[in-house]
Amino acid sequence: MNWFKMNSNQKIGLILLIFCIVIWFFIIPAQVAGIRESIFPRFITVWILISSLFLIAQSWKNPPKKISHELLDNKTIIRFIAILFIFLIYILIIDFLGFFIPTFLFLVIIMLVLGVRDWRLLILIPLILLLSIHFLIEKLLVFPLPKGRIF
Amino acid sequence: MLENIVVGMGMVLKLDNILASMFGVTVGILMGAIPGLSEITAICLLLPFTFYLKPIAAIAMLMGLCKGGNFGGSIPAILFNVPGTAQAVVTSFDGYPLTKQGKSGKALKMALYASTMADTLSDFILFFLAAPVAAVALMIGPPEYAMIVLFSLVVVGVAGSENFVKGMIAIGTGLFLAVIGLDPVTGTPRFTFGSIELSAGLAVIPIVLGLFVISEAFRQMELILKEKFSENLNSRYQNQIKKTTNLSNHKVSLTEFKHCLPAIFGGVGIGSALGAIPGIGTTVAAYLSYTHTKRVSKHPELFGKGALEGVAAAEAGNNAVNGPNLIPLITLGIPGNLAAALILGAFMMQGLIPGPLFMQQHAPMLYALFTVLIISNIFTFTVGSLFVSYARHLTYIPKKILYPVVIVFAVIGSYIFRGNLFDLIIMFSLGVLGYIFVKIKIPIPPILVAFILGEMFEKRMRQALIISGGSISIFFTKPISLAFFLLTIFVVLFFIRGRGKNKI
Repeated sequence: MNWFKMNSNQKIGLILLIFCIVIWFFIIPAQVAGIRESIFPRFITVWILISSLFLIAQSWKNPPKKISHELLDNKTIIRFIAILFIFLIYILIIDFLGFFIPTFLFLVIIMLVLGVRDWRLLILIPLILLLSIHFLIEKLLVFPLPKGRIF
Repeated sequence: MLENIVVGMGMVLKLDNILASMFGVTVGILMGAIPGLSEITAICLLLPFTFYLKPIAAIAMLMGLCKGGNFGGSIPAILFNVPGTAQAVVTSFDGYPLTKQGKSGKALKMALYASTMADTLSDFILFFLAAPVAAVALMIGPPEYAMIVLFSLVVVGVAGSENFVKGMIAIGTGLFLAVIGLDPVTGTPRFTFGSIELSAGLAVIPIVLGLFVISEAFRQMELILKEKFSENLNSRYQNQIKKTTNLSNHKVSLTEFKHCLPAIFGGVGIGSALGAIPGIGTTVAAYLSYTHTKRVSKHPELFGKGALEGVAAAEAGNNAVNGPNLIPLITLGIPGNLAAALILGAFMMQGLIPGPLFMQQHAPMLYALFTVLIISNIFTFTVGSLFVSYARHLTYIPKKILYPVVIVFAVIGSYIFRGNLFDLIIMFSLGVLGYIFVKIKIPIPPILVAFILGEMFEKRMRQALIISGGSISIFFTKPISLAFFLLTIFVVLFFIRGRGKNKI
């Protein structure tokens, strides 16, 4: 089978198939102790395995209509991946800097990436939001927000 | 029974519950009305906070959110032809043409009347049917229960997707997520990869927020980057504002209401019948109710061009699902659709496990729930009526600002549930997973339903196997369990054949 000649459903099916084999032969023996404990995980693996075989067989018979991929220019893709990374970094640095500083930075940076250019909005929205979160959620409802290790 | 009803109502009629319900409805309508947010987002974002409320107040708030959001979603559908929710698409068929004729107020009011009326009627169906169904449900043991769960999983997976195989993959994924953590019977760790955080299992909240809020935010931000969507919406919105400032024709007259009554009752019938089956959901109900009304109408040619009956039928159909949908939830612990799954999550967080024993142990709770439903309908009607007059002046929040803020609230919600930063990483991962799944057209609601039912499914399955001494014949020799097994096979075959022919 040539990967580049396969349609999207066959690719999904093949990836799931490999996933199931890895789970069955490597992950379940290593991560699940005991036969009784592994009945259900193996049942699920078979469930996904049968589904993925079905998916491959089905798209062989009547292949899915080619989805006309809207051409994304490189700039958009880079920006989108940047958003994912900024989000990931944001939730990771909460552990060190607490809730408020990372959130402020996150909002400003994400809005900049998304194309907000009005600097009043860029400063005021995070500020108002964080102040209302502080008073409403921390002071009034007394929910603990993440405290950083440094601050 | 009468005693239980009185106790149940007494449990609800307290200030904090009523305030919770009113808060839920108001927030639900507001969030539903903002184009780009739905009642699902509203429930997801507020679910973590309900954990700290008393059970009834928590349920009251969620029901309020659900009903308020359901109505709220029809506001942008009618005003801007931008349905906030999938079921509101049908409302926009006739709602938006009415707006174009300058009758937006009339359409909004009709939507409100039809939805609250249908909702109330369908709640009575729940009220009368839940107890008998629960009595039957008490007779079922582990093997039957396991088969019923299997049946509902298959129905949820099959009904919710274009391609039933992809629905099955979603179910498998959800079950897999449910297995991570400690074994429910022996307590040995599974798939924890040595991590302490994973051994506690995945919590509902980060999964819900990741799958439905974060993945949606990712999708919307991708659209913003493409810069098509927001501009279109903006110009469309501005057009509408000009048209709707013409304030004539914004009332529903008594004759018009009477004219729409058959459509509403038809919607209630169709919606309620579909609602009792897990997995069918509101969109199908709204669509079937709409086509039925169109078929029996004397003026079918007006449909799609601004027939008030069309709005009434769509709204009645999708709201009539709400009551009966709770029958499988309360009696068997099986959520019929996404909103019910979220409410089941809330029940579980409160330590209440719906299912056959629920009615025995907490009989007044059912009547309390019923009272909550009626109260939230009353609030939806009153708050909605007030809101309809101002809906025209809805300010449009740019998505560039909306979605970053939504993400911040998801982060807060995910954290405050267990006070655990690891949950944020789970939320992020599921957000990415949900985003990819939507791209490759695997439906995400079945993942949540399977995740919630997973542990119960495994427990019952293994209990049955212990009873039978390890032989799987126990699932096929008991009549109820065999019946559900055959039903499952039937559903699968039906969809393979039906979908194969239509090639949807």
